[in-house]
Amino acid sequence: MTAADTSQRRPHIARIGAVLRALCFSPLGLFSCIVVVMFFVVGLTADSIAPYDPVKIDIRNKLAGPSWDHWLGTDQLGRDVFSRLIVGTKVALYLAITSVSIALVIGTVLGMIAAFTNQWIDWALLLIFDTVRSFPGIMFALTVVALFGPSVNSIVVIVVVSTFPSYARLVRTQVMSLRNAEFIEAQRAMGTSLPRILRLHILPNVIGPVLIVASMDVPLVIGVETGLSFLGLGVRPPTPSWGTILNDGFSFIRNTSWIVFAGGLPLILTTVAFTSLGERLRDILDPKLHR
Amino acid sequence: MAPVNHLVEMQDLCIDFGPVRAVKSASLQIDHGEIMGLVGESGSGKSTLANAIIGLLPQAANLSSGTLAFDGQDLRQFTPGQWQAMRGRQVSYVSQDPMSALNPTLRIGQQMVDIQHWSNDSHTAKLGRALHALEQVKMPSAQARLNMYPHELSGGQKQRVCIAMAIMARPKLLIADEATTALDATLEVQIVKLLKELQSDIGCAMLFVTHHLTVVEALCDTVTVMYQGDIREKGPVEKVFSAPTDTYTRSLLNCDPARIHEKCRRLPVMSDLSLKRPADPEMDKKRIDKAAGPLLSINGLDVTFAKPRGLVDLIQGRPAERIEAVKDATLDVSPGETVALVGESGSGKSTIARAVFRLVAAEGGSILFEDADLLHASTGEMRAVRNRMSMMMQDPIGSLSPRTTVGAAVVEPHIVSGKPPEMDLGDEAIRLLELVGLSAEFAHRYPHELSGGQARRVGVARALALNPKFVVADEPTAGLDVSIQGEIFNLLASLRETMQLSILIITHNLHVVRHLADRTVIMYHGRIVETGDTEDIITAPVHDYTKLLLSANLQARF
Repeated sequence: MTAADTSQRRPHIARIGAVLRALCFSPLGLFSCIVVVMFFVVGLTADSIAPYDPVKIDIRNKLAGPSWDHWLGTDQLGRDVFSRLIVGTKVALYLAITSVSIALVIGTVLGMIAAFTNQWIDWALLLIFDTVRSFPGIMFALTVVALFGPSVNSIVVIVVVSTFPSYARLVRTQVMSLRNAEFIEAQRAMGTSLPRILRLHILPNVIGPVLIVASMDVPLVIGVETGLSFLGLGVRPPTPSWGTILNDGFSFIRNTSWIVFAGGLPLILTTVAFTSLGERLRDILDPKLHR
Repeated sequence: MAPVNHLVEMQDLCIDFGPVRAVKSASLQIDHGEIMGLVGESGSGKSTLANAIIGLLPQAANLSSGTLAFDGQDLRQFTPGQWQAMRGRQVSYVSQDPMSALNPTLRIGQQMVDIQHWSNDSHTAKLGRALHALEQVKMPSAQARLNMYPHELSGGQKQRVCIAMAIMARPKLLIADEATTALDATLEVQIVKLLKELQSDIGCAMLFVTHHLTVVEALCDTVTVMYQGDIREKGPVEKVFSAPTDTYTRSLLNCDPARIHEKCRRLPVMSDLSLKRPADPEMDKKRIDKAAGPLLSINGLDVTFAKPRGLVDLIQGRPAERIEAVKDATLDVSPGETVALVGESGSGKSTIARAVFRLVAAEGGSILFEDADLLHASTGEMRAVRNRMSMMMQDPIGSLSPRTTVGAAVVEPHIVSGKPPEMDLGDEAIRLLELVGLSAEFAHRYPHELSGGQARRVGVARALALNPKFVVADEPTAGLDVSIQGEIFNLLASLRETMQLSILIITHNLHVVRHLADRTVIMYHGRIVETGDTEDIITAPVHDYTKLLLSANLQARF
């Protein structure tokens, strides 16, 4: 908008730089940064970097062990496991980004509404949050799959509905503790409108913890996809996903166990990386830990 | 080592925080039974010095050279076990904030028993000792208090509990770090009296860390003055206060509003003591425009707060219990006039201001500003009114949004009220900052990068952004060092002369009020008990509470 507004932005960028530096300083932080970056790069460029067509069947070459041609061998239909893993990252990335960001936005908005409107709406929303959270996850997942059929978007719905209450609860509590802070009162005395207070003065102060919870939710989403696909309720074959690869490998675990290991490895890596990234971020961003 | 004759013996002690030297070769002796005041501005190293004696410095601190001994033991060689054995038994500590020093989930009696872990006595014996300590600190109905939780006690009572806990082990040294700062003037007097009596009963030495000179004068035998990590002067209180040898001490004493008895138009400040100007009654009269009728007129204002109701109460439609915060308050402010609203915390003085800005809803009465009826104005009308009045919140740093730069904060009123299109907000920010004596480079800083005085100036700049006619200043000098108080005072005084401002000051500190306010309104328990010209109220108070407040505020000797 103006000079005052741009000057407001610049120090933020400097601070992001400082946070990144602090992140990469510790070995675990560096490791998780690398894995997360790789996850994004591989997920975005999957189709062009996969050495083989992930759905091309080559029945003569089925269940071959790792070799120079097929780094992680082939599955029961002779498809290249390495290529399937790479293309499966695409599904994992799509799920992680869409479902976590939708849940985050819904949760943040509802949390702010709950904290800033009247008591009745607050109670109604809390009741919804708690009802959703107390509903058994697997029952809900089966219901959604039964209604909409197994697909990637069903997984998005399942994850969004089951995780948004935790964001909403977190935001509501944070906003409530800020609501009576003096700088908010000063804004109200100035006549600042509620949307502007929420956007410029509340949101920047509550979004940090929310983003950290989000980064810890990413492996959860991938885990849900893997679990549902493993049960045959997630991604439809022949589309490769980490869950379907695990499912395929599981059937042949007695004689060709590498498929299960190969399918499990990226799952373990991303889980560890995102979780430790979230924990490191929480430590770095918590001003109390600097004193 | 020299034969033991001092309780605390400090020689050339240096304390470093990384590259920063917080205490520069300090030498200090405290004798048995001595009450020493340690005075200095915030950041002068006085708390660091006190914490070094009890071993509570943060990890980053490093005692780089010098000696520090307590009762003949070298504290620099202490192991964590030795520290633990010493704290609470030989040295005890009363902190600044009685509200957060007690555990909110435990009863007072339980907490007082728990800290006697040094004793092998039975629980009953410990409880007896706790009761005795509460009686020693003159806690009313001490027996019943043992079963209460901290939130059931008032601030002054909580501080009494903290002191009772500190003296239970009969320590040789009691360190009180700003122990009375968070309390109202009347409570402060009581606590200081109590400490003085306890000291003569128990005979412990006391180190009283404060920036409040009046308290030191009343309580202490000796005083040590610190400035930027240096000990500038030490000696008996009478000698230092009547004939200070150090230039810093002299400036500090000269610019303390509490020690300036004649009414002033400008107060002396640390950097320029010659700034002091006597009040000019003629000018004051010209400034106030009584003929035009009141700018703000509050009539019979009632404000009550509802106690929060549970879900069950709401469903059953049970009406909320109400607490009277302000009852039948009537108050006028003329154009150009400065009115002070004085009372202890919880007396409802801030509630009146908040009702004017419609931050709380009023039950009855009326508030007229110019011709607008503020209690019944629509949101749109209210917005127009808000352009002509503004409010400065109490906490200088806490009232600025932590993730907004100073430059964006001061022009925010313009954005909120819809700025004229030709205005450049960057230039406007610099103009406002310069108006309050800050340079343009402050525009890029964040609130946490400001000192208390700088943040207060930013608050003033923001309040004046729209050229208002009326400003509410909630405790404009609270929590600021003596020297900064004068600067903020002078800033407000000069701005009201140039901008034709009406100011409503909300405070419990009469020292600043007597120089700045034309009229004073005294509040007690939600009611206005006395109104009049400031000079009249100070020289001839009528109401009992006013008399009490004056004796607490203005007497140097308790």
